[in-house]
Amino acid sequence: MNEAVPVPAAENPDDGEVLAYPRDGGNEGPIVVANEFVDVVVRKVDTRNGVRLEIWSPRHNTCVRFDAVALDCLSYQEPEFITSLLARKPGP
Amino acid sequence: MIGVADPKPDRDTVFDVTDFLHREALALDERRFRDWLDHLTDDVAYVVPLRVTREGQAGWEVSPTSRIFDDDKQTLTLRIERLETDFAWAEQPPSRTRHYVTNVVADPGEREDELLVSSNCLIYRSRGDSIEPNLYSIARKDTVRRVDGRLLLARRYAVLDQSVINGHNLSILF
Amino acid sequence: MATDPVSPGAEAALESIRDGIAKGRFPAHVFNDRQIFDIERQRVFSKAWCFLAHESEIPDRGDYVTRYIADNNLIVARAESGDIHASLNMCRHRGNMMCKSEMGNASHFRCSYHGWVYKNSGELVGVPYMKEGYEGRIDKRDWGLVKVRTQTYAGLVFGTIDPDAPPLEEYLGDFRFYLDLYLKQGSSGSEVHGPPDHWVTDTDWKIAAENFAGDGYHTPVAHQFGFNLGYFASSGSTHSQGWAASIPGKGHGIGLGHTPGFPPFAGFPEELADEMRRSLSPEQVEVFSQTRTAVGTVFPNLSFLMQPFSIVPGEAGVRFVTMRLYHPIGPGRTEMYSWCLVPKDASEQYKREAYRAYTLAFAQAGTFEQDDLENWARVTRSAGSTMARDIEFPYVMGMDSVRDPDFPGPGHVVTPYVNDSNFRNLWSRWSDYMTGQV
Repeated sequence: MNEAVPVPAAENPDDGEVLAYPRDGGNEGPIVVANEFVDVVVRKVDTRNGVRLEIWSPRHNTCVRFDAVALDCLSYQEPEFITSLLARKPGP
Repeated sequence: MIGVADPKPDRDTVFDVTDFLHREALALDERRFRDWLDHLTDDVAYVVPLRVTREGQAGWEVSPTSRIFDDDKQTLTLRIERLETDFAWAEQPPSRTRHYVTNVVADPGEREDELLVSSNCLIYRSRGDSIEPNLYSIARKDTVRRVDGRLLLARRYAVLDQSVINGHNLSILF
Repeated sequence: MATDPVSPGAEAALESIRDGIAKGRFPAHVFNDRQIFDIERQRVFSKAWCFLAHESEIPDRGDYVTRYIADNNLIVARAESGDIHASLNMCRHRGNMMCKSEMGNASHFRCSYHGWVYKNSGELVGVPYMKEGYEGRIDKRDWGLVKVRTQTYAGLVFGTIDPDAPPLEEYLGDFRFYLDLYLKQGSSGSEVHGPPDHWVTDTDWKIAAENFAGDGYHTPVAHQFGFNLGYFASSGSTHSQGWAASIPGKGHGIGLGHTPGFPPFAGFPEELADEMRRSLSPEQVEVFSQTRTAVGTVFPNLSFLMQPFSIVPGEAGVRFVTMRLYHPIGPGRTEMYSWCLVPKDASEQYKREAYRAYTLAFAQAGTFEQDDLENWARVTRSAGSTMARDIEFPYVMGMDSVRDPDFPGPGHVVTPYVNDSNFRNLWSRWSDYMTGQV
């Protein structure tokens, strides 16, 4: 049982809501993103000289670390691109 | 909070709270609805939220905003006044209810005069000549306040375990 | 869709019911009858446009809810393109349910049995061991989730499993004029306030559909406590005033209750009333401004009610809107869905107050709802008895009423509000479907 949160984040979000750019570097985490099919844990990982974003799938125990270039590239792909990846490899 | 040991309510307090919940349930089951209202503080919040079937990782399973009951003393009084008219068809003839209150756990509340009380409540409801009762299994989180030496219910948050409710209406209280 | 044959005897009985409606008679047993229920599944719910969801329940890409048409569980999802798709919630490989949550967000669905992956619009994209197992014997284009045709009107998403059903616009026809009262409150329209109340009741869906098609007659009795305690803006003596409007040949109908002296648009926030005056047609403004209560049904099983309600007797209070779907799950047994619709543009405070009025009056623990469901459960029970096989109900109120010549809204409009004309229209359309005319 989850006691009431006064303002829900998920129930009726404004369409196309733009999240504020995190001025603190956005170091909070890890973040869990889940639906009824899978859940992943996302966190920032510092390397010696820089930073990567780690996506870890606890159910599959698979993990990938993307740098800014890779993530930027994902940001302008068509949704079909992800579909094609799932078509190529529907599971690990 | 780690390191800040809240004093656990003593045995007498736990006994008093349990006794209070039993007497409050008895008032409902004996249809002494005015007496039942006397078990509530004037600023009581009486909330039964809506449950949705969702995956375990979902942000919420119990809606943060949607309510089956979202009542205060004024609206609860209205419900009781309604039952006192000759036209509350939903409860005519009345439901026979039995509230089974168990698993009472009392912890210190936000205020010094308050306790946070969790309990399980199973309600058996029989109507008319039907041999099939409605059963409602409920997790309750109550705030119980001591006022002038008496215990009173200041908040009830009662969550039904079903997401699709069995029962043609909810003309009873939890 | 394959249909079971209906016996000649049953066909003849349905024809006779159809003839009876024109004479103002309708049999009791149809409100609790296994055979009628089975035929309804084939001929009404497999043919009509059935309500699935409100667009505001799936506002963002990937949002989905699960709903039903007849006994078919459907996924209603907003695809990555922003379009809405409805698909049968059944994996094409071995039939497992894809979505088990009532709501969620996913770009793709993955079956929990053998792992087939579909886009949220239904296309099959991923098949494990495609090369090793199927050796090219399967073309993914042939094995998508079974699609259901959808169309929308002012935020309402409808679906039909009849490929030959006319466009939704034609199906709703002139009833859209009246639906706008619930759906176009302000320039941004209406939205749901959270997920629906959801419960199962021993009531036939038709009893609820008829009541909400404009039964002003029951109110002073069934809801007498409201008058008794002063929670109604009308009284026993003025309650019959208003109009019953129905769309001939479509089945839809609405009752518009009117109280003399009730201020125009009372209960709406000022800004919203102004906006409605600007954005609705002059005819709609004329009708809606003098409407106290509006209670209507879209054939077959979607209903709306708008009413002002205040917990302080005598005050106009706020307008709340409830939208409900009566999903038939057996003869005389219905799964009820009830949403509260609020104007998107209204203040948070107004939305909260309207929602609170809804919970107190018309959600499943609502004080008015309780009495209706008690009565309906007893009607259903009586209708299933053996002597009820030969009993008919009178539907003769307003048989000879002529259309109110001054009323600016469309359809067959009669006054007073207490009238059977909407119900004759509703059951006549129902029997068109039941006798295979549609």
